[in-house]
Amino acid sequence: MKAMLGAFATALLIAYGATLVLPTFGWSSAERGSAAESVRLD
Amino acid sequence: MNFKFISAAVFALSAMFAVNAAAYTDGQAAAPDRSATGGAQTLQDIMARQAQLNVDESFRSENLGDPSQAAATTEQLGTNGGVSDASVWRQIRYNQADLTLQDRGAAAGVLIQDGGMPWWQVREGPMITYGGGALLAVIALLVVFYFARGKIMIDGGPSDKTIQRFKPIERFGHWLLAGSFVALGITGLLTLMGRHFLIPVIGHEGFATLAAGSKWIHNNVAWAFMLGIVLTCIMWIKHNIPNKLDWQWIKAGGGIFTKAHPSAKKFNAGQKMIFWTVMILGVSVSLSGLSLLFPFEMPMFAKTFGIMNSILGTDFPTVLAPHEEMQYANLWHSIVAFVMMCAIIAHIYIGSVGMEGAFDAMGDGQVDLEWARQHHDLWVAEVEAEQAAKAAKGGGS
Repeated sequence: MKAMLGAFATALLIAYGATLVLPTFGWSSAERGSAAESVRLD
Repeated sequence: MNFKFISAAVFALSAMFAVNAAAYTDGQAAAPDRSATGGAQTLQDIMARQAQLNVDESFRSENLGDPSQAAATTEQLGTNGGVSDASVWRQIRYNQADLTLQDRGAAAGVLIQDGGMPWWQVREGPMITYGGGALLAVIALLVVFYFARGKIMIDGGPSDKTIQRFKPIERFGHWLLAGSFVALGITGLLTLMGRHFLIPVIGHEGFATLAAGSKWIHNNVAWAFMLGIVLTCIMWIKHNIPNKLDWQWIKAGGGIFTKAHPSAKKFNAGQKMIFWTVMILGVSVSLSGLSLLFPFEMPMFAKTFGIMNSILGTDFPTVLAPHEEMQYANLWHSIVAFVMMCAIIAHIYIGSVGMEGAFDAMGDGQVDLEWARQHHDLWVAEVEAEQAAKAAKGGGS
């Protein structure tokens, strides 16, 4: 069961790490659609 | 009294159908009188389109503005340089406008995109109906199977010996893939259809929080899923190459109905089918997911359609607007995910409640020796031969 729990914890770590790494490439799931450079109707 | 009422209702319905039949024939809407709108669209045009009928669009696709007929800009209600705003929008609508835009990428240049509504209708209709229905059908079939066949037990009961089925790294790879897939499946279903049955229960604000959390999990746990695909592929691909033994296993139905135990190595034909389903569809769902994760930056359907047309002689569109690429990616992502979910639900069943001793393989990695002999006899023989060889080598050195 250690392998299973370790894998689940790793999946969460990877998910959290993605939020830190991806913005360095100019992308963020949280900011997507709300960034200043996004296309706006106004 | 009732008879008269029913007769009147039948007459009224017949009259309605007769009117409709007169107005629309063979899915083609009859051209209405547009004199009241000066030739512009009427309510009847809109209603015909909503009824999925073909409307002759020439009355507006060919009405793109005539500078010689336009009011001067100095006059009241004057037009923009010879054509009205409505004409400009019709030009945009029919891709005839010569417009200059700020450079914000190809997607920003698409102001009107026809495919949006059919995509939305498929997403909200057949995708939810057939996708959700397939999941419920698989669950129902498994429930029926469980009560008809019962749990598959170890013949003669478990022995007092175990054998290591999977190493810790194999179990880690499996659970990384499985855990992330379950998280992606649940959050994907919430994103696709959650609003329909959760908003009435938890309200808009509650669902908004849940949807935002689902989006975060879906976008970011996806990387763990892709890593899981790579890990399990590297570890197990050599054990999943199809061979003649698989055909024997399939012909025996895996022993599920006959209670026989066809021979198998580390993975039987059923497990190989699950493996290749997960690998092929897993790569496909990952690619369409990446296309959605990086909007407009990874278009792949126009090229795919081109390849399909050249090989299969099909006639799929090979020129797609950026938004159409996203719409196809979204639909394909959902279709593949539903197929995978159906397969994985069956996999979860047989790996847990459906078969005695099966979960141990991915639990602590140690399975009952008798279970292993009944379901993977050739693999047990290989492992025992290896152990004997090692023992002989150790004893001889």
